[in-house]
Amino acid sequence: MNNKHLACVFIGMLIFAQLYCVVMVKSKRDAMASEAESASLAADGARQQVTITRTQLTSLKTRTEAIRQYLAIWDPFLRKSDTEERGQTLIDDLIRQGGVTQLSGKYDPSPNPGNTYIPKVVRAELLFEDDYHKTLDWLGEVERTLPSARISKCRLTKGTTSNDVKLEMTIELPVVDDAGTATPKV
Amino acid sequence: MDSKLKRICHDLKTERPDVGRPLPGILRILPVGLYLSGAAALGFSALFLWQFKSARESRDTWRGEEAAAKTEQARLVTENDSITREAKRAEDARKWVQGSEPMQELLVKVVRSMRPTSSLAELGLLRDKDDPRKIVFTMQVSSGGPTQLDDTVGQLASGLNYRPYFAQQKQEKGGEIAYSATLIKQDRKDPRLDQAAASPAAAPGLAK
Repeated sequence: MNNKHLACVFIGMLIFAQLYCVVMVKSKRDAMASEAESASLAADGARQQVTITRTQLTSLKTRTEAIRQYLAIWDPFLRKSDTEERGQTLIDDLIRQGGVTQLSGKYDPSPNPGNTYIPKVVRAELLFEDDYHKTLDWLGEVERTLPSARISKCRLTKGTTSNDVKLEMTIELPVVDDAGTATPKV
Repeated sequence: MDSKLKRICHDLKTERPDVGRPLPGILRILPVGLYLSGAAALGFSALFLWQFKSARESRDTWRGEEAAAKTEQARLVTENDSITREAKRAEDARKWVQGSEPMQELLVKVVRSMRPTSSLAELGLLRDKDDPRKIVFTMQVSSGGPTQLDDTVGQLASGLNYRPYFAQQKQEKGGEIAYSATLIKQDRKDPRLDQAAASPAAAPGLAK
Protein backbone atom coordinates (compact mmCIF):
# COMPACT_ATOMS: atom_id res chain seq x y z
CA MET A 1 0.00 0.00 0.00
CA ASN A 2 1.47 3.32 -1.03
CA ASN A 3 0.81 6.85 0.10
CA LYS A 4 -1.99 7.30 -2.41
CA HIS A 5 -3.81 4.36 -0.99
CA LEU A 6 -3.33 5.65 2.52
CA ALA A 7 -4.72 9.04 1.47
CA CYS A 8 -7.79 7.33 0.00
CA VAL A 9 -8.35 5.36 3.16
CA PHE A 10 -8.00 8.55 5.20
CA ILE A 11 -10.53 10.39 3.05
CA GLY A 12 -12.89 7.42 3.27
CA MET A 13 -12.61 7.47 7.03
CA LEU A 14 -13.37 11.19 7.09
CA ILE A 15 -16.51 10.61 5.01
CA PHE A 16 -17.53 7.78 7.33
CA ALA A 17 -16.93 9.94 10.42
CA GLN A 18 -19.15 12.70 8.99
CA LEU A 19 -21.92 10.24 8.24
CA TYR A 20 -21.58 8.73 11.68
CA CYS A 21 -21.95 12.17 13.30
CA VAL A 22 -25.09 12.83 11.27
CA VAL A 23 -26.56 9.47 12.27
CA MET A 24 -25.77 10.18 15.93
CA VAL A 25 -27.46 13.59 15.81
CA LYS A 26 -30.47 12.05 14.06
CA SER A 27 -30.77 9.31 16.67
CA LYS A 28 -30.68 11.93 19.42
CA ARG A 29 -33.39 13.87 17.62
CA ASP A 30 -35.49 10.73 17.29
CA ALA A 31 -35.06 9.92 20.98
CA MET A 32 -36.11 13.44 21.93
CA ALA A 33 -39.10 13.30 19.57
CA SER A 34 -40.09 10.03 21.20
CA GLU A 35 -39.77 11.61 24.68
CA ALA A 36 -41.89 14.56 23.54
CA GLU A 37 -44.51 12.15 22.22
CA SER A 38 -44.53 10.22 25.52
CA ALA A 39 -44.76 13.47 27.48
CA SER A 40 -47.64 14.57 25.28
CA LEU A 41 -49.49 11.29 25.94
CA ALA A 42 -48.78 11.52 29.67
CA ALA A 43 -50.05 15.11 29.76
CA ASP A 44 -53.19 14.10 27.88
CA GLY A 45 -53.73 11.25 30.34
CA ALA A 46 -53.22 13.53 33.32
CA ARG A 47 -55.63 16.12 31.85
CA GLN A 48 -58.24 13.42 31.28
CA GLN A 49 -57.79 12.22 34.84
CA VAL A 50 -58.27 15.77 36.08
CA THR A 51 -61.47 16.07 34.05
CA ILE A 52 -62.77 12.78 35.48
CA THR A 53 -61.87 13.74 39.04
CA ARG A 54 -63.41 17.18 38.61
CA THR A 55 -66.63 15.62 37.36
CA GLN A 56 -66.63 13.19 40.29
CA LEU A 57 -66.00 16.05 42.69
CA THR A 58 -68.84 18.11 41.25
CA SER A 59 -71.12 15.11 41.50
CA LEU A 60 -70.01 14.41 45.07
CA LYS A 61 -70.55 18.05 46.03
CA THR A 62 -74.05 18.01 44.56
CA ARG A 63 -74.87 14.64 46.10
CA THR A 64 -73.70 15.61 49.59
CA GLU A 65 -74.79 19.22 49.57
CA ALA A 66 -77.92 18.62 51.65
CA ILE A 67 -76.18 16.53 54.27
CA ARG A 68 -73.25 18.96 54.50
CA GLN A 69 -75.71 21.80 54.86
CA TYR A 70 -77.27 19.78 57.64
CA LEU A 71 -73.88 19.52 59.36
CA ALA A 72 -73.23 23.23 58.89
CA ILE A 73 -76.52 23.97 60.68
CA TRP A 74 -75.99 21.50 63.49
CA ASP A 75 -72.26 21.76 64.02
CA PRO A 76 -72.35 24.82 66.33
CA PHE A 77 -74.96 23.11 68.49
CA LEU A 78 -73.06 19.84 68.60
CA ARG A 79 -69.91 21.73 69.57
CA LYS A 80 -71.54 23.43 72.52
CA SER A 81 -70.20 20.70 74.75
CA ASP A 82 -66.79 20.43 73.14
CA THR A 83 -65.17 18.93 76.24
CA GLU A 84 -66.41 16.73 79.05
CA GLU A 85 -65.94 19.52 81.61
CA ARG A 86 -67.85 21.97 79.43
CA GLY A 87 -70.72 19.50 79.05
CA GLN A 88 -70.95 19.03 82.80
CA THR A 89 -70.85 22.79 83.37
CA LEU A 90 -73.64 23.34 80.85
CA ILE A 91 -75.93 20.87 82.63
CA ASP A 92 -75.02 22.26 86.05
CA ASP A 93 -75.79 25.80 84.85
CA LEU A 94 -79.17 24.72 83.49
CA ILE A 95 -80.05 23.02 86.76
CA ARG A 96 -79.03 26.12 88.70
CA GLN A 97 -80.94 28.46 86.38
CA GLY A 98 -84.03 26.26 86.42
CA GLY A 99 -84.04 26.07 90.19
CA VAL A 100 -85.36 22.51 90.22
CA THR A 101 -84.62 20.45 93.27
CA GLN A 102 -81.95 17.93 92.45
CA LEU A 103 -81.77 14.83 94.60
CA SER A 104 -78.76 13.28 92.98
CA GLY A 105 -76.46 13.66 90.01
CA LYS A 106 -73.68 11.64 88.50
CA TYR A 107 -71.55 12.49 85.48
CA ASP A 108 -69.62 9.98 83.45
CA PRO A 109 -67.77 10.29 80.19
CA SER A 110 -68.55 7.30 78.05
CA PRO A 111 -67.68 6.17 74.54
CA ASN A 112 -70.13 6.43 71.68
CA PRO A 113 -69.17 3.50 69.48
CA GLY A 114 -69.86 3.56 65.76
CA ASN A 115 -69.75 7.33 65.49
CA THR A 116 -66.44 8.86 64.45
CA TYR A 117 -67.71 12.43 64.61
CA ILE A 118 -69.02 12.05 68.15
CA PRO A 119 -66.73 9.42 69.68
CA LYS A 120 -67.55 10.35 73.27
CA VAL A 121 -70.50 11.60 75.27
CA VAL A 122 -70.90 13.06 78.72
CA ARG A 123 -73.60 11.06 80.43
CA ALA A 124 -75.41 12.68 83.33
CA GLU A 125 -77.69 10.57 85.49
CA LEU A 126 -79.93 12.97 87.38
CA LEU A 127 -82.79 12.71 89.81
CA PHE A 128 -85.14 15.59 90.58
CA GLU A 129 -88.22 16.11 92.63
CA ASP A 130 -90.18 19.27 92.22
CA ASP A 131 -93.43 20.77 91.04
CA TYR A 132 -94.81 19.05 87.93
CA HIS A 133 -94.98 22.20 85.79
CA LYS A 134 -91.62 23.47 86.93
CA THR A 135 -89.93 20.16 86.29
CA LEU A 136 -91.39 19.64 82.83
CA ASP A 137 -90.73 23.28 81.91
CA TRP A 138 -87.15 22.79 82.94
CA LEU A 139 -86.89 19.63 80.86
CA GLY A 140 -88.22 21.57 77.87
CA GLU A 141 -85.73 24.32 78.54
CA VAL A 142 -82.89 21.78 78.57
CA GLU A 143 -83.97 20.43 75.20
CA ARG A 144 -84.37 23.93 73.78
CA THR A 145 -81.04 25.21 75.08
CA LEU A 146 -79.14 22.05 74.20
CA PRO A 147 -80.89 20.70 71.12
CA SER A 148 -78.04 18.27 70.53
CA ALA A 149 -78.47 16.71 73.97
CA ARG A 150 -79.94 13.24 73.93
CA ILE A 151 -82.22 12.28 76.76
CA SER A 152 -81.72 8.55 76.76
CA LYS A 153 -83.82 7.77 79.78
CA CYS A 154 -86.67 9.57 81.41
CA ARG A 155 -88.88 8.21 84.17
CA LEU A 156 -91.65 10.20 85.74
CA THR A 157 -93.26 9.05 88.96
CA LYS A 158 -95.34 10.65 91.65
CA GLY A 159 -93.55 12.84 94.15
CA THR A 160 -93.95 13.06 97.86
CA THR A 161 -96.56 15.81 97.70
CA SER A 162 -99.59 15.92 95.46
CA ASN A 163 -98.26 18.33 92.83
CA ASP A 164 -94.70 17.06 92.85
CA VAL A 165 -93.19 14.62 90.44
CA LYS A 166 -90.00 12.67 90.58
CA LEU A 167 -88.02 12.81 87.39
CA GLU A 168 -85.23 10.35 86.85
CA MET A 169 -83.33 11.07 83.67
CA THR A 170 -80.15 10.42 81.77
CA ILE A 171 -78.82 13.15 79.49
CA GLU A 172 -76.05 12.51 77.01
CA LEU A 173 -74.12 15.46 75.61
CA PRO A 174 -72.02 14.87 72.49
CA VAL A 175 -68.29 15.53 72.62
CA VAL A 176 -67.26 16.20 69.03
CA ASP A 177 -63.95 14.87 67.77
CA ASP A 178 -61.91 17.84 66.62
CA ALA A 179 -59.11 15.83 65.04
CA GLY A 180 -58.64 17.20 61.56
CA THR A 181 -61.97 18.86 61.48
CA ALA A 182 -62.94 22.45 61.11
CA THR A 183 -66.23 24.24 60.95
CA PRO A 184 -67.75 22.84 57.78
CA LYS A 185 -68.21 25.03 54.77
CA VAL A 186 -70.81 24.20 52.18
CA MET B 1 30.36 28.63 -13.37
CA ASP B 2 26.96 28.36 -15.03
CA SER B 3 27.56 24.79 -16.05
CA LYS B 4 28.53 23.91 -12.52
CA LEU B 5 25.28 25.34 -11.14
CA LYS B 6 23.22 23.48 -13.69
CA ARG B 7 24.89 20.27 -12.69
CA ILE B 8 24.18 20.83 -8.99
CA CYS B 9 20.54 21.70 -9.67
CA HIS B 10 20.15 18.67 -11.78
CA ASP B 11 21.56 16.63 -8.96
CA LEU B 12 18.92 18.03 -6.52
CA LYS B 13 15.97 16.98 -8.68
CA THR B 14 16.59 14.28 -11.11
CA GLU B 15 14.01 12.75 -13.38
CA ARG B 16 12.54 9.65 -11.68
CA PRO B 17 10.17 7.08 -13.05
CA ASP B 18 6.83 6.33 -11.19
CA VAL B 19 7.40 3.70 -8.55
CA GLY B 20 3.76 2.50 -8.41
CA ARG B 21 0.82 2.30 -10.74
CA PRO B 22 -1.53 5.31 -10.80
CA LEU B 23 -4.80 4.96 -8.79
CA PRO B 24 -7.93 3.93 -10.68
CA GLY B 25 -9.94 6.84 -12.09
CA ILE B 26 -13.00 5.91 -10.05
CA LEU B 27 -11.20 6.97 -6.87
CA ARG B 28 -11.36 10.55 -8.06
CA ILE B 29 -14.84 10.44 -6.58
CA LEU B 30 -13.31 10.37 -3.10
CA PRO B 31 -12.43 14.07 -2.77
CA VAL B 32 -15.74 15.01 -4.41
CA GLY B 33 -17.51 12.69 -1.95
CA LEU B 34 -15.65 14.25 0.94
CA TYR B 35 -16.81 17.74 0.00
CA LEU B 36 -20.36 16.61 -0.67
CA SER B 37 -20.60 14.57 2.53
CA GLY B 38 -19.12 17.44 4.50
CA ALA B 39 -21.76 19.82 3.15
CA ALA B 40 -24.56 17.29 3.63
CA ALA B 41 -23.36 16.46 7.16
CA LEU B 42 -23.43 20.15 8.06
CA GLY B 43 -26.88 20.65 6.55
CA PHE B 44 -28.45 17.56 8.05
CA SER B 45 -26.80 18.10 11.41
CA ALA B 46 -28.17 21.64 11.52
CA LEU B 47 -31.64 20.38 10.57
CA PHE B 48 -31.58 17.57 13.12
CA LEU B 49 -30.29 19.87 15.84
CA TRP B 50 -33.08 22.33 15.15
CA GLN B 51 -35.61 19.49 15.29
CA PHE B 52 -33.97 18.19 18.47
CA LYS B 53 -34.31 21.57 20.17
CA SER B 54 -37.85 21.92 18.99
CA ALA B 55 -38.73 18.44 20.35
CA ARG B 56 -37.02 19.25 23.65
CA GLU B 57 -39.05 22.45 24.02
CA SER B 58 -42.16 20.53 23.17
CA ARG B 59 -41.29 17.81 25.70
CA ASP B 60 -40.64 20.40 28.41
CA THR B 61 -43.95 22.09 27.64
CA TRP B 62 -45.84 18.79 27.86
CA ARG B 63 -44.04 17.87 31.05
CA GLY B 64 -44.97 21.23 32.53
CA GLU B 65 -48.59 20.66 31.56
CA GLU B 66 -48.48 17.18 33.05
CA ALA B 67 -47.01 18.52 36.28
CA ALA B 68 -49.71 21.22 36.43
CA ALA B 69 -52.39 18.61 35.78
CA LYS B 70 -50.96 16.37 38.50
CA THR B 71 -50.93 19.26 40.96
CA GLU B 72 -54.53 20.04 40.08
CA GLN B 73 -55.37 16.34 40.39
CA ALA B 74 -53.80 16.20 43.85
CA ARG B 75 -55.78 19.29 44.88
CA LEU B 76 -59.01 17.78 43.57
CA VAL B 77 -58.32 14.47 45.31
CA THR B 78 -57.64 16.31 48.57
CA GLU B 79 -60.85 18.30 48.19
CA ASN B 80 -62.70 15.10 47.31
CA ASP B 81 -61.35 13.39 50.42
CA SER B 82 -62.24 16.39 52.53
CA ILE B 83 -65.82 16.43 51.24
CA THR B 84 -66.16 12.67 51.68
CA ARG B 85 -64.89 13.00 55.25
CA GLU B 86 -67.24 15.90 55.89
CA ALA B 87 -70.18 13.94 54.48
CA LYS B 88 -69.28 11.03 56.75
CA ARG B 89 -69.17 13.38 59.74
CA ALA B 90 -72.47 14.85 58.65
CA GLU B 91 -73.99 11.35 58.49
CA ASP B 92 -72.70 10.67 61.98
CA ALA B 93 -74.09 13.99 63.18
CA ARG B 94 -77.44 13.18 61.60
CA LYS B 95 -77.48 9.78 63.26
CA TRP B 96 -76.95 11.50 66.60
CA VAL B 97 -79.51 14.20 65.99
CA GLN B 98 -82.13 11.74 64.76
CA GLY B 99 -81.67 9.83 67.98
CA SER B 100 -82.11 12.99 70.05
CA GLU B 101 -85.72 13.83 69.37
CA PRO B 102 -87.15 15.81 72.28
CA MET B 103 -88.71 13.76 75.06
CA GLN B 104 -90.47 16.55 76.87
CA GLU B 105 -93.19 16.81 74.24
CA LEU B 106 -93.86 13.09 74.62
CA LEU B 107 -94.16 13.39 78.39
CA VAL B 108 -96.39 16.41 78.10
CA LYS B 109 -98.54 14.75 75.47
CA VAL B 110 -99.04 11.69 77.63
CA VAL B 111 -99.82 13.70 80.74
CA ARG B 112 -102.22 15.95 78.86
CA SER B 113 -103.99 12.97 77.35
CA MET B 114 -105.08 11.83 80.80
CA ARG B 115 -108.72 12.39 81.55
CA PRO B 116 -109.68 13.97 84.87
CA THR B 117 -110.93 10.59 86.06
CA SER B 118 -107.74 8.78 85.05
CA SER B 119 -104.58 8.59 87.03
CA LEU B 120 -101.03 7.92 85.93
CA ALA B 121 -98.74 6.05 88.33
CA GLU B 122 -95.57 5.91 86.31
CA LEU B 123 -94.29 6.95 82.95
CA GLY B 124 -91.01 5.84 81.45
CA LEU B 125 -89.16 6.54 78.21
CA LEU B 126 -85.98 4.70 77.41
CA ARG B 127 -84.03 4.97 74.20
CA ASP B 128 -82.81 1.83 72.49
CA LYS B 129 -79.01 1.69 72.73
CA ASP B 130 -78.51 0.31 69.23
CA ASP B 131 -81.09 2.48 67.53
CA PRO B 132 -81.83 5.59 69.61
CA ARG B 133 -84.72 6.54 67.34
CA LYS B 134 -86.64 3.73 69.02
CA ILE B 135 -88.07 4.64 72.40
CA VAL B 136 -89.26 2.01 74.81
CA PHE B 137 -92.36 3.54 76.30
CA THR B 138 -93.77 2.22 79.57
CA MET B 139 -96.79 3.52 81.39
CA GLN B 140 -98.76 2.44 84.42
CA VAL B 141 -102.31 3.70 84.58
CA SER B 142 -103.88 3.44 88.02
CA SER B 143 -107.36 4.25 86.84
CA GLY B 144 -108.91 4.94 83.50
CA GLY B 145 -108.67 1.53 81.95
CA PRO B 146 -107.98 0.49 78.37
CA THR B 147 -109.88 3.43 76.89
CA GLN B 148 -107.41 5.80 78.51
CA LEU B 149 -104.56 3.81 77.02
CA ASP B 150 -106.14 3.95 73.57
CA ASP B 151 -106.58 7.70 73.92
CA THR B 152 -102.99 8.24 74.97
CA VAL B 153 -101.47 6.06 72.27
CA GLY B 154 -103.78 7.61 69.69
CA GLN B 155 -102.67 11.11 70.65
CA LEU B 156 -99.02 10.12 70.41
CA ALA B 157 -99.67 8.85 66.89
CA SER B 158 -101.78 11.74 65.68
CA GLY B 159 -100.10 14.59 67.53
CA LEU B 160 -96.45 13.63 67.43
CA ASN B 161 -96.35 11.05 64.65
CA TYR B 162 -95.06 8.28 66.90
CA ARG B 163 -96.21 4.78 66.04
CA PRO B 164 -96.22 2.05 68.71
CA TYR B 165 -94.71 -1.34 67.89
CA PHE B 166 -94.53 -4.51 69.97
CA ALA B 167 -97.18 -3.17 72.34
CA GLN B 168 -97.88 -5.17 75.48
CA GLN B 169 -100.59 -4.58 78.00
CA LYS B 170 -100.96 -6.23 81.39
CA GLN B 171 -103.68 -5.90 83.96
CA GLU B 172 -102.17 -5.83 87.43
CA LYS B 173 -103.51 -6.10 90.93
CA GLY B 174 -105.77 -3.24 91.98
CA GLY B 175 -106.91 -2.51 88.43
CA GLU B 176 -103.62 -0.97 87.31
CA ILE B 177 -102.72 -1.42 83.70
CA ALA B 178 -99.06 -1.71 82.70
CA TYR B 179 -98.46 -0.82 79.07
CA SER B 180 -95.24 -0.99 77.13
CA ALA B 181 -94.45 -0.41 73.47
CA THR B 182 -91.60 0.66 71.24
CA LEU B 183 -92.30 4.07 69.77
CA ILE B 184 -90.79 4.99 66.41
CA LYS B 185 -91.21 8.40 64.88
CA GLN B 186 -92.41 8.24 61.29
CA ASP B 187 -90.01 10.57 59.60
CA ARG B 188 -89.74 11.76 56.04
CA LYS B 189 -87.25 10.18 53.71
CA ASP B 190 -86.09 13.17 51.69
CA PRO B 191 -82.93 14.53 53.34
CA ARG B 192 -83.68 18.01 52.01
CA LEU B 193 -86.92 18.00 53.91
CA ASP B 194 -85.18 16.43 56.88
CA GLN B 195 -82.61 19.15 56.75
CA ALA B 196 -85.16 21.91 57.12
CA ALA B 197 -86.99 20.00 59.81
CA ALA B 198 -83.79 19.16 61.58
CA SER B 199 -82.69 22.74 61.98
CA PRO B 200 -82.27 23.32 65.71
CA ALA B 201 -84.25 26.54 65.35
CA ALA B 202 -87.19 24.76 63.76
CA ALA B 203 -87.06 21.13 64.80
CA PRO B 204 -87.24 20.88 68.51
CA GLY B 205 -90.83 21.95 68.71
CA LEU B 206 -90.78 21.84 72.45
CA ALA B 207 -94.48 22.18 72.92
CA LYS B 208 -95.57 22.46 76.48
